[in-house]
Amino acid sequence: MRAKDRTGVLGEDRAAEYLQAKGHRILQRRWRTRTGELDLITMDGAQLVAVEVKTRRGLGYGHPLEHIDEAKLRRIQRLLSEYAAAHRMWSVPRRIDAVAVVLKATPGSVELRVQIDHLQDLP
Amino acid sequence: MSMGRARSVVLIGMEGHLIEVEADIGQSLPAFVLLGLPDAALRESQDRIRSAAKNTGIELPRRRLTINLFPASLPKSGSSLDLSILVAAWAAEAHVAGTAKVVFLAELGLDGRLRPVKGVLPAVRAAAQAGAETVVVAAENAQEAALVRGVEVLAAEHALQVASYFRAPGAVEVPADPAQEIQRVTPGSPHAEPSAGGEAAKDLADVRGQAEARFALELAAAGGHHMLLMGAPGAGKTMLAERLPSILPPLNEEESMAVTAISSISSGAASVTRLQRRRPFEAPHHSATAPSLLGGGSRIPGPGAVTRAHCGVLFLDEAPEFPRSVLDSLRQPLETGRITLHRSAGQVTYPARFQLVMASNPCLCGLNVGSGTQCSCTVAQRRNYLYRLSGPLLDRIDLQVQVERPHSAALALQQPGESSAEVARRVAQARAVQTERLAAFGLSLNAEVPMNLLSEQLRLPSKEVRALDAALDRAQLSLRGYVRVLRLAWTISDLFLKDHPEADEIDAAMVLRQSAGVRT
Repeated sequence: MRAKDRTGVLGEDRAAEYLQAKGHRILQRRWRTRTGELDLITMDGAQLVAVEVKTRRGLGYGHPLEHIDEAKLRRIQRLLSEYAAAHRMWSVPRRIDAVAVVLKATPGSVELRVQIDHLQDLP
Repeated sequence: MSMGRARSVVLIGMEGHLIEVEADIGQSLPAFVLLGLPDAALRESQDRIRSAAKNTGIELPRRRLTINLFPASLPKSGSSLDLSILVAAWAAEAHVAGTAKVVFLAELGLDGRLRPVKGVLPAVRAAAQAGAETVVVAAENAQEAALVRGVEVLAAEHALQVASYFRAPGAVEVPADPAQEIQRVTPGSPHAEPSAGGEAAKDLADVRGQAEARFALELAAAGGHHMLLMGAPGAGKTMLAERLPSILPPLNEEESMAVTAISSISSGAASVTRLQRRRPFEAPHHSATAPSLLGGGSRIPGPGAVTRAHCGVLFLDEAPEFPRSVLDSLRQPLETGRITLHRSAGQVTYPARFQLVMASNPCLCGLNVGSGTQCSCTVAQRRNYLYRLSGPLLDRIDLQVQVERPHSAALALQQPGESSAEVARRVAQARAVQTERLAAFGLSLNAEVPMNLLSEQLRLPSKEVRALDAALDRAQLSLRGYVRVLRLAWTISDLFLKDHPEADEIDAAMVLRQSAGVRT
C-alpha cells in the first residue's frame, strides 16, 4: 500500500470514529462503482449521508477542504443517487457532508495529533 | 455570531462615501465571495487578506466567507478597503469586537503590515462628516488623518496591533508585541505637526529691472487677473511667472483643506503630512493633452493639472505651442471654477479655480519686439502664430503684457529688486480693500466682477472714463476689452489705496492691456 493511500485509510478511520461519536450509523465504507467511490455512507437520524473524507499530513499544501471542488460535489451527488437506487432507498432524504482530517506529527512521539473539521449539508 | 461589521471610505473623485463592510461566515466549503461592485484591484484584496490573516496568526476560518460592501450600488475600487474587510471577517469569528462604527483605511501587505493609501485626508473628512468617531490608518498616514478635526485617529503598523486593540473579551490571546501598541494621534500630539511652509519659494528680488512687468505681476496677484506675458526669448517671462505664487496671499483654512486634499489624491500615498499654505503652481509642458490638463482616465477619472492648480497658478509656457483644442478646453473651468468629467461609470466634479498665466514669444523667431526690424517672420507667419490663441480664450485674459529684454543699464545697477515679502504685503492690502467693496455682491476679486456690476453699482463718473469711451467709439477697443480695462483700473486704484479709479489709472490699464499687441 502506498503512503498516500495509507494516509487516506487512516483519515477515514478517524472520520468514521468521529461521526459515530456524533450519532451517525455507518452503512458502508468505500462504496465503489465503475465510475467512482464514496468514502463513507452513513445514516444521520433519518437522513442518508454521503461523506467525503479528505486527509492531509499538515497544511503545507493548503487545507483539505479547499480541495473539494464543484465537479467533485456533483460526482458525489450522482454516486449517492446511484447508491440510494441500488439499495431501494429512493424516498430517503439525502445530503452530502465533508470531513477534513489533518494529521500532525507530535515531536518526540509516534502518536499523531488529529484535527477534524466537519461540514454538513453541502450544496 | 457569524456576522462581523466594520466601516471604510471609498473616494469617487474628491467625494468620500462611507462604506459598511459586512462579513458573514457560512457553513460551506472554503470560498471568498465579494459583493457590492468591486473592481479588479479590490477583488485581488481577497488573496492579500487571507495571507495577511494567516501570517498574523489569526487565521480566517476554512469556510465560505461572504463580504458585502454597502451601499451595494456604488462602484468601489482600490486597496484601501483591505483592512476593513479583514477586521469584519475577524469580527464574524468573534476575534475582535466593537468595530462596527470604526472606519478602517489601509492596504494590507502579505505579512499583515499596514500600508499607506492615497486620499486619506478627503476620506477621513468624509467619514467625520458622516458621523464616524474613530479612524484607524497606517502609521504613515497618521499625520494626514489627524489634520481632520473631531475624529479620533489610531495609527497602527501591523494588523496585529489592530487585532489586540479591538480584541473581543474571551477571544484567544493575540501574539502581539507589547512594545508596539496602537498609537493615538491627535492634532496636538507631537505626531501631528501644525502647518508650515514648504521649501523656499523663488523670490521676486531675483528679478532685475523689468519695472513694467513687475507691476503687471503685482496687479495680477492683487486682482486675481489672468495674464499673458509676451516677450522675446530670454526676456524673463518664465522667471516672472514662477514668482507669482510668492506674492499671492497664503491659502485660508478652507482653501488649504481643499488644496491639501487634492494633493492627497493626486500624489503618492503618505506624501501629505501637513496642511498646505502656499498656493500651488502647475506648469505643464506644451505637449500636454486635454485629459492630462483637465483630468481623465477610465472608470472614475482622476484630477488633472487644472485641479492641481486649484487656488493657485496654472502656468502655460510657450502657450501657442499647445494644441489649440487643449487651450480652448480651459475655457469652461476658467468660467465656472470647476471641471466636471463624464464617463459611463459616472461623473465627477473637481474644483479648478486657478489663475491662468500664459507666456508666449511674439512670433515664430521670437524677435518681433520693439520696431521688429530683426524679425525674419513673414506677416502671415506672425499672424498665424498668435492666432493659435483663440479669441474666446484671450477674451478671458485681463492682462496682456509685453516683457522687455532687460537693458544693460538696468542690469548694471546690480540692485536686487523689491523682495516678494514687500510686494505680498501690498497685494494683501489691495485684496482686503477689494473684499470689503465686493463682499456685498458675493465676490472677492476684481477679476470676477461682471459687466453689469461695472456699468451699474460700480459705475465711474463720466469724466474719468472719457478717454476710454473715446477709444471705444474709435473702435480701438471692443466692449469686452472695455470691461477688462475697467477691472484692471479698479485693481490699480486698490493697489494705490484710492477710492475709485481716475483717468490716470484707466490710462495705465489701457497701456497694460494693449502693450502686448495682441488683437483685442
